[in-house]
Amino acid sequence: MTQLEEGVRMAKHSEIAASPAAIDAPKRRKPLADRLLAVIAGWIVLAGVGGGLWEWAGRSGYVNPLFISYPSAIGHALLKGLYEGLITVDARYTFVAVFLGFAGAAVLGIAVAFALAQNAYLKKVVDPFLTALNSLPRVALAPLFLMWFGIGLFSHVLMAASLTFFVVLANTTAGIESVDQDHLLLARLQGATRWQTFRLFIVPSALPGIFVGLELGFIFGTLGTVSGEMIVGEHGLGVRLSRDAGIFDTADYFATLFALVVISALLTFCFQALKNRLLGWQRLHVVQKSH
Amino acid sequence: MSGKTICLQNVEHFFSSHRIGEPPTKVLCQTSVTMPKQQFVSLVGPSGCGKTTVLNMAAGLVRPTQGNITLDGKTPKVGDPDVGYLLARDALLPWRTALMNVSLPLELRGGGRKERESLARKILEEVGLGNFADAYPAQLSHGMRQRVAVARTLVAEPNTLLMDEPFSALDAQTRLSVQQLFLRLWERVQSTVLFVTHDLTEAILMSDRVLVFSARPGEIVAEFEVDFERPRSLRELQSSERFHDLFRRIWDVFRQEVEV
Repeated sequence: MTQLEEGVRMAKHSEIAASPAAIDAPKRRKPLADRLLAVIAGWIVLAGVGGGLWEWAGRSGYVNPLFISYPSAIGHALLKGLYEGLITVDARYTFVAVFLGFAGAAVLGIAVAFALAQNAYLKKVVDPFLTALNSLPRVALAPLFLMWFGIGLFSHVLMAASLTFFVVLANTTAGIESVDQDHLLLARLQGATRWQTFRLFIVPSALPGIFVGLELGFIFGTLGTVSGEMIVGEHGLGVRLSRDAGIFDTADYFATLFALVVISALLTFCFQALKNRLLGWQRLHVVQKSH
Repeated sequence: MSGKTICLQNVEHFFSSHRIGEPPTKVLCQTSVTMPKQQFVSLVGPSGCGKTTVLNMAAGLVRPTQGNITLDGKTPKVGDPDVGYLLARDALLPWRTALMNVSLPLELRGGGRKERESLARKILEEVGLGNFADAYPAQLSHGMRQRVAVARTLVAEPNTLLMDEPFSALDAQTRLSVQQLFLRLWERVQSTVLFVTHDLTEAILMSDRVLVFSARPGEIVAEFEVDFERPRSLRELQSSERFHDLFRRIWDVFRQEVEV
């Protein structure tokens, strides 16, 4: 055995045995939290009990159904809305507005965050104005947008964008600032160009922050559009909500809320799938830390 | 076989004070020393004695307040491809596999993907991590991570290595195995090494020459040649009488500085 091999063998013995990857866990029954069927059963029970209580309270008149309706009536309203295509039309209108606003604001938010990170002077000058704009209650802008751009899609797009932009900007900035100083030192010592430092060190560090921003930004964008629609609009789930409330059509109100929740949840799920694909290394990190 | 000659001429260094009106702090007294090429030189001394400052000057990260430092007669430049740098913290990129971390220096310098990956794979095998090429840093132990960092430093074949307490974050057992591994790799190429440590044992085991620094403001108070033959087996050397004799001689000087 050469001395090099000996060194390698020594190293292997002393370290690999201690690495978590090499430890074979004894076979044990998985805890409940790790068993998919048990979790699904839990969901069904919780939804069944909650829905059952609601149904009972509404139908028996224990709580006035005018205020809370009950699940079967809501289901009926939902099916009717889908069958007649009215909910679908409103949902499409709302989410087209959310998407346009979200996409534009996300691109702009990320771009502005990186631009400000490159220029400390510009950042100091612009920061207080951004903070002021961000502390503005955005719903208060809805009438102004309507006045400027009329009752139409564009106003509702702007409502989504006005919220998404700041959320994405703030989280992207936090992500950029979280870059490890040792990584930047390494980049310098290895002669990385400015562009290489940006592409290979800063952007990957900022990605988790950007994803948090996009996820939250989408939720906030939906909030912006729906609240804008509730103030004034021709189409959209927000319009539907304010009309339902006006005529005490509680079942349809809840059906509309349900549609909003389902669509938002589906889209959030898509984000997370994409995030897990791109940021698999981050979950390894978390797994390791929890040991 | 190559390596740069590192030369300090009347180098003196001050840190400027953060408070206005206060005089700057002297960290390094006037120092002149030459580290010939292919020599493994350790700098030992108490914290704050300026040994890391000397290293950072050689890396081009710090300009001396007075005097000159040169590598082969030239002013050091940050990002010199011939100079490798290894820190105590491995600074691996968590989103890259071991292989991709090791090939990073080659990627920054341009060069084909196939070529850089095969070079990286080869050196990963040499540090005993051939089977862990696709593992992420979070999946590796401390010792393994530091070996990846060693591989990353060596992959571009620098002829001069600057090392700042590179093994100090490892436990004693792991440290010895990584030291031995590093020494095996180094003994084949014999680049110039400037090695900063506060661990006297490590300095003696690894180097050809030990420079002892005084407490701040630092100056070289003693210099020892370590003429143990190479290749060295650290375990054997550690238990030999020759090692203990030298350790005691250096410790007598070192202790006075640490106790100040």
